[in-house]
Amino acid sequence: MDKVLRDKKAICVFVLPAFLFFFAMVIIPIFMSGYYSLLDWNGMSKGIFVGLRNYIDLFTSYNNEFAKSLGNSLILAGLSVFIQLPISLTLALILARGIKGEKFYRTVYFIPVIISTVVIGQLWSKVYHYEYGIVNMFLRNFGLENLVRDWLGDKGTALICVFIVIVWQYIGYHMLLMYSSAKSIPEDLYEAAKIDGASELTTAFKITIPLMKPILNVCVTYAIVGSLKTFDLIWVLTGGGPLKSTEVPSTLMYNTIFFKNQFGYGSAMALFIVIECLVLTVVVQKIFKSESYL
Amino acid sequence: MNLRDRLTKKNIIVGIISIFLIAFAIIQIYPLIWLLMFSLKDNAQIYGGNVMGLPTKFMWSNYKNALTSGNVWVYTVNSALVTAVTIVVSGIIGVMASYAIARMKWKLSNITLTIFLLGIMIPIHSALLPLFIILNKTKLINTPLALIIPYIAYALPMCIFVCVGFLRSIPKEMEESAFLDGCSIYRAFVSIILPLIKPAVATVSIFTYLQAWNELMFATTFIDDAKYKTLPVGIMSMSGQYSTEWGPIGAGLVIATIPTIIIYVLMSNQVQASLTNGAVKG
Amino acid sequence: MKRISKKLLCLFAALSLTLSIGGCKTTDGTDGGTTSPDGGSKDKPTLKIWHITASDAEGNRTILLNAIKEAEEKFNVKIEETGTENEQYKTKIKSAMAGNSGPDIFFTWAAGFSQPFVDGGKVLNLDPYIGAVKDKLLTGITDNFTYDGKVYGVPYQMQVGPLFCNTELFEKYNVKIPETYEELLTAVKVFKENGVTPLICGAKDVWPAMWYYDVLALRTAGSQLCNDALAGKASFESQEFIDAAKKLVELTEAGAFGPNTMSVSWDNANVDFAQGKGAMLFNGNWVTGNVNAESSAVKGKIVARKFPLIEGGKGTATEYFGGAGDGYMINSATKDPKLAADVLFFLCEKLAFDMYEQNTGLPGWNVSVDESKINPLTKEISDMTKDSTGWTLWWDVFLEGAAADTHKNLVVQLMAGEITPEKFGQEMQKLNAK
Repeated sequence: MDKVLRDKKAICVFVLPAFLFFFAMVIIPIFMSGYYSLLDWNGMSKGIFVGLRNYIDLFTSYNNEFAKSLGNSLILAGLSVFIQLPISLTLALILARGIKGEKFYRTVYFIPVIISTVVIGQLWSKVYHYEYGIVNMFLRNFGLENLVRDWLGDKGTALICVFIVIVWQYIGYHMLLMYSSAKSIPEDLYEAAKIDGASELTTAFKITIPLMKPILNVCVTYAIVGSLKTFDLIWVLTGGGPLKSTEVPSTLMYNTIFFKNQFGYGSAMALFIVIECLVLTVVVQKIFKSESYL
Repeated sequence: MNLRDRLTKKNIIVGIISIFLIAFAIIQIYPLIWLLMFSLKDNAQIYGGNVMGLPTKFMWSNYKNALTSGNVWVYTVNSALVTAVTIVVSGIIGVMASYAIARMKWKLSNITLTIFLLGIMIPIHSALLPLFIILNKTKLINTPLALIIPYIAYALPMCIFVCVGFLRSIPKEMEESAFLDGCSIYRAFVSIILPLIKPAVATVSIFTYLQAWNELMFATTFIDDAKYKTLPVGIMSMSGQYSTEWGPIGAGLVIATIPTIIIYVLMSNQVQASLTNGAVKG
Repeated sequence: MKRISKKLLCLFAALSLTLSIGGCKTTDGTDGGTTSPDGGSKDKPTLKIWHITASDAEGNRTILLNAIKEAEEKFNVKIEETGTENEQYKTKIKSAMAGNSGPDIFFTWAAGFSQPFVDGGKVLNLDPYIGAVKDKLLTGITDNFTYDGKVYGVPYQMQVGPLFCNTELFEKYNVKIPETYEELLTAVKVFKENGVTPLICGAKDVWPAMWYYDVLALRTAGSQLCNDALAGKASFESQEFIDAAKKLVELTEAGAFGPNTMSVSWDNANVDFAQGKGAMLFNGNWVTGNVNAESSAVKGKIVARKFPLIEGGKGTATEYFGGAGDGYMINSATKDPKLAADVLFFLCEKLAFDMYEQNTGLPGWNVSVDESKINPLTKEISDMTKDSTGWTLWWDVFLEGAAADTHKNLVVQLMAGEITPEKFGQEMQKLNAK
């Protein structure tokens, strides 16, 4: 039987189609970016080979803006893992245990993921609007005039305001993944727990969550990687401003490549993001793996 | 504690949870309602004092504009085609690769998984120029394949990641007996694994759908010909050179969102159905 | 297992090969074989043209499509047009030109934006072809498309930044339309006291804020010094540029731009002005379109004036912020350069004429139209600039990519009080030192 599972021809048949697509569209571009990142190149003229200069520049030049943007994206990763995922998990567990209107909630909670980022951006820029946004309207009505501010235009608050939107938008995304996993846990396990007199909460922590580990692994990885390369909503809401306070590596990279015409330097940023994601993913995999032996 | 006390206590908890769920549902559904209202306003209302409420003047002309502008129907068909091919192909080859990675025995299986994971790590904007060059060299640029191939490639990591996790949680005994009966690996894959993995694939398809249906940057850059353009490009080209009328864009987005909601409801019912059919017991 | 590793090794070897080939070809810029495909009808040549007039809602689209149709008949060619949204277009054209598969004729911005195209040898030198139409072009209009004395592009329109004033608000609060900086400050104070945003801006998109600094600098330093400094021939640390920065800070501190300009996008600002929420707006002549639109609340109430003069400044009333900032260029890999150039000249002249006649732009060519048909506001702007003695182009177009980005961000930093006017001058001068 082992022989069947070690059949190399079969392995090739299964893996090769996906690998070929992947190789052409993902691996080759990474290598090309890697090559560009060693050049001083504006995209049009002949590039000049500069070795690792671009990588050194990432952390020594341009007012340290890359390091700052990196910090911002790590904050977002933290918020995603410790605030967004627990919310998603809670919702997924409640819905999976069969509450009235389960299907309705499941559908509705996913809506923000479906709606175009452009619309979400427009909506939230209205929520935060200085003059007629609900946040300021609320504050004014409750006599908290001194807290009224231009939320997205103030460099002290813009970052957190944008992050709230990102964290909120993808709650439904993770919820759906977790929900379908929680749902696939066989009912008899719950029955057994019930007979043993375990409360719903204990059941969740002792049975459901441990069984959901593969999907939790997926979610944590996605939340981290997604945060490190987040782009769309920031681009729509603040464009990295005001005063670069909401800049993240991806927005900075896009600006560098397509507006500042620094293809080499921008590619170095891209490669850095890939490597950073890869390292963190491996760490996450290790954490999830080691835990299974506890 | 007697039974009645327990019941009321439970009722209170359920009540609190329900209030919480409903409140959250309102927050989540609001963007959709807002989009509908948005699509019926003009710029004066969108940016003026009436940003949250019902339109004071219903701009049905936004829908007329959106529907008659350019080739909206052609774009919709293109988007549907590109998205459908992406979902089907990435689903099939993704599940195949996942099976080999998760259940077959070879040394490089973990490395292969990690390599596939690279796909989710690439900041997509940095791949734009390399992809353009590759597609240009292979003469694929400005054909539907210029979108389908990259979309498939970038949908694979999520598909593989989720399916591998799912397959690893299924007990080995499922196929073992089949192998002992002399069943080939391909047969086992088709008749045992495929039915089992349906819910995972349905879930993943929703995400693949969203990615392909809404993608804008590749679609703008890799396609010039109006007959191959996709819906997001069509909607974006409604914004003007010096100023933008947002109303018709809102209407276009409503039109683009309707199929999404339908697909989502259908797919998530599929998730539900495959689960309750008892296919994944084990 | 060995066999698989070996296969992988082969794949990687193949990869590095593709990579090196791809790498060479992308940087040497000689591989233009894919331009102007032979497809289409057999005897008619095909030209591809890319532009940013994508929206059907814009009158300019019909104008452009008509011009293209006429050109097709006149030159017996097939023209394939592709319109792309403005912001997306910048990414698209750069990728295409870098990948050597740009169209034959394409829309582009002057000076700094197109510099890389010229440096990379991607665009056609128009000198051999332009002779025939030289007289038809306004004097000096191709200056911004001239690199090393050679013309590479042709504009179709002139653009200029007037100060748009909402006369209704000026009358309501009994304010004089400012002609000097002092009067501007007074106006700002009165409007602010009455809860009206004095100057509409839209600093979220950064460039609208830059406009205010640049025009102040035009007034303190004059166009000659501005152009010299931008070309690296004069210093941004000279007093004039620091004075302009001080004026901008003064205006900001007086509350000229309202409490929330940092989060307001240009689209939003544009609507605010058309809804009568702000008293003045300094931006391009394209604002007339929104002001005259059906949904506008200020139709007929807006006048266009020269930006106020600054006492002691070198700038005079006849110097303007603007010029020919956009136009079309030809891919150096096009098959029949003469034909492409002829089509280009025809299109640009036609666009200049039609856009002026239909009130969507000021012409960059000598065109004669029935002036009575021209909208009063457009006419006002057109007449205003007839006395021009000097022009300075938008700095973010004049400067190249990275420098333009730095400039815009420095202006915003200045407005936010993050840097002093002196520091601003120093940082700007660093661009010239590079």
